[in-house]
Amino acid sequence: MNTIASLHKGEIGYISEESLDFIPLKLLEMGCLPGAEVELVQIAPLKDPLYICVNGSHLAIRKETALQIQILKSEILHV
Amino acid sequence: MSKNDIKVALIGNPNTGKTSLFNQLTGLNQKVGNYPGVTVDKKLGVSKLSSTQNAIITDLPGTYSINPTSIDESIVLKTLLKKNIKESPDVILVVADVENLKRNLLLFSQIKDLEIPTVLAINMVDQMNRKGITIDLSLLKKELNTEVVLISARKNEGIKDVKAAIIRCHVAAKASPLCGINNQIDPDYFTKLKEISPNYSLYELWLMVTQNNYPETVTKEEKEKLLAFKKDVSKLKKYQHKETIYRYQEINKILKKTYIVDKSKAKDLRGNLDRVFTHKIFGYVFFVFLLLAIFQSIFDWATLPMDLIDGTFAEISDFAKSNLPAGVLTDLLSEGIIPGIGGVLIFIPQIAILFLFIAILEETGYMSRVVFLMDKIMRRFGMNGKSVIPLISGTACAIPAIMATRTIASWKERLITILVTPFTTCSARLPVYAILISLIIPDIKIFGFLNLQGLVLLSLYALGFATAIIAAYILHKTLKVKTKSFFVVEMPNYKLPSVKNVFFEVVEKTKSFVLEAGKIILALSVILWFLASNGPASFDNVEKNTIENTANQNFSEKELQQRIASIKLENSYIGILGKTIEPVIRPLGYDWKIGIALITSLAAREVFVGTLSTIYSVASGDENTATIKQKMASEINLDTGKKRFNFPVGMSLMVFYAFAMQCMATLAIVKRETKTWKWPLIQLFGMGLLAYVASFITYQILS
Amino acid sequence: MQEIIAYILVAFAVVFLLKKYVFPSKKDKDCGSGCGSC
Repeated sequence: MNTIASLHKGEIGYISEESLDFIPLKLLEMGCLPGAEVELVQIAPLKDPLYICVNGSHLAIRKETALQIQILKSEILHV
Repeated sequence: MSKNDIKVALIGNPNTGKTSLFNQLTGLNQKVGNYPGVTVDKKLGVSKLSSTQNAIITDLPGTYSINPTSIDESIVLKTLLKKNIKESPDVILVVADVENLKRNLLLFSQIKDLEIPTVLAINMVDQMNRKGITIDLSLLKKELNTEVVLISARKNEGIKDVKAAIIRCHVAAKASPLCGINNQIDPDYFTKLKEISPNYSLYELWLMVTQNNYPETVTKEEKEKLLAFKKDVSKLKKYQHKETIYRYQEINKILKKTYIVDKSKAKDLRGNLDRVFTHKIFGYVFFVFLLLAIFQSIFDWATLPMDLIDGTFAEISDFAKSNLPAGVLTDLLSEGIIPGIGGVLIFIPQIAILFLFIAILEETGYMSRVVFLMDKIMRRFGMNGKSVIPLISGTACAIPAIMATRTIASWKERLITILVTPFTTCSARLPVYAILISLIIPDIKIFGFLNLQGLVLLSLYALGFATAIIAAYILHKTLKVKTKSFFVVEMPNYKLPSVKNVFFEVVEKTKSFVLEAGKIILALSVILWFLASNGPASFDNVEKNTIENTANQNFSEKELQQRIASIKLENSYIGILGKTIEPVIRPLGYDWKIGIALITSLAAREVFVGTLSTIYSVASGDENTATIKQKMASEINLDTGKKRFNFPVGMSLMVFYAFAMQCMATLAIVKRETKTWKWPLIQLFGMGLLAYVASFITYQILS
Repeated sequence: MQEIIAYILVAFAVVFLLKKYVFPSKKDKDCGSGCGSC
């Protein structure tokens, strides 16, 4: 199961549809939507928080949150 | 202000330059007030839209969505839901930043759906070229069905267009929803919801259901009908998720037609800088250096103005005493009120400089990186990455530091930060440390270059900080407070700080310190003056008795007056209080004279020095530390026949001041921010106990 | 006369502190002790 937390620095993933229920509303509102592209920009020393770029927004989230959001390593084609 | 003024609410994501726009629109015509019942600042300003039309602009806290996750954000919800009809806005001015337009439009779409006249200002358009962005403005206006203005608040461009748009919008006074709620989410549910009342838009009703907040005009029956829709909580959550996704779908459709990014043109300054500032080693190194530079600057730059203020107030006090008719009121003025005010103003240089640095760091965007670097470490101690700012601010003064904790969403993390911040060494402790160190620590260099006195001062700072961290850890493990910890911090683009914004921010923070702390310190100074200038029967005869008793000692007039002042203090209510607590503080190495100084420190810690100078008969205004030092150095402890201020006593006193919660003004602020007396009292007694035990151990071990 | 004014000021200081912190006005309707994230 790949989550945002399993991305390596500079790697890109795509948020899976299944995570929808686990994404906190606030993150969703900030653009962290199923299908969106997410890149891991930087990991803080001590592996937490994670600095990501999702859907154009640059955010820092805690590892516990990142672990909840599943990703796919290849793009989902949306209609 | 007149009835004709248009009420405008300024709303937008954080980091969109909303504050810059507010400052450009209102200039110096702004003031900060308070929302009743919550500790959120209400920022208001007047803007001249045209020669005949003014607007009252309220700068609402930045938020990413109407759905709030903190008290700040709940203010936005309440304002938009017209909780208070009289104050509800006529026009909403939404600020978006050109680079994050997609995300900004989420909030915009929610606001449009409330059917309030809205103007969209897209800010930072001076960056458009650099980012390879092009916008089809006329098509965007059409698609959004809104007035849209491209601006650069920082460069003062487009401001006139915004003002004109606000007027047009207000005159047109119509507004239609943008996305609405997608009926496809649950046609049955939403159709029935809309039927509850024709007076509100569907989105408004939906917000009433999900947020438990109602407009002032809602009736009891309507509320009851709404109850039925709230029953299934998980269903509500699901619908909110779907609503958000739907909104983004609509936004994407619109942006596809109107907003183009040519990535090849974009220059990524942020990425390059972040590689350095969030680097696992260099990121911290840089931060530590920055902190040291800030502290050093505060010391270097603040000393001159502080001495200036100190001297000026001493002169004013003398002037008052010699030129006003002799009497009680004059005494109150020259010994209570003027020193009281001076005691507050003297900290302005340090506080202003510290907030200058913090404001600059926040404006540049660097603060978010600090929060990023420090979050994990802070969490181990029950605090949040954002707690760094209050902890650093606490080295100037705990009061604005505690107010700065409002940005921490999780109550437990915020509470712990508030409770431990007073442990950091604030500016008021410095005069106490300074004089005691110069008394008991030899002025020598160890290892040839390290100044011992400086080293001791540094360790006191370290002690304060370490205690804060340890106390936080203990509280973290023992406090059973309900907490919802959710952490999302935006990493904004780096930008050059705007002088105007920084200036306003520093003025605002300094003003709040002076007014909040100042009032309390002044009131306490007045009361303490009273207690020190009056006493029971023996007090009234002091002057006569002293003159008699010392008739053969040939004191000069000045010395006689000083002697009288000292004995008066001894016999005043405070003096009696000091003597009463003497048995309790004797194990710490103190006598009743020091006891008096401890009590007066309740107004402000640095009053310690002034009080001692009175007790030891140093003339007021002669707070030349050399003179006080001489007197303190020659004080004899009558029990031991040796010096009163020896090494153990000095160390014990410094330890006491490091730990004790003496500043009543701080307690008052804690009470206001935590909304209960429980926490400030716990602080008072907890820290007091710690101070007592620690000083006791220090004194006993060292002597 | 001076004394009267002086002591009125002192009383005022006491009342000010008491009013502000011992008997706060009932504007605090929303949150009880400790308001978490809404």
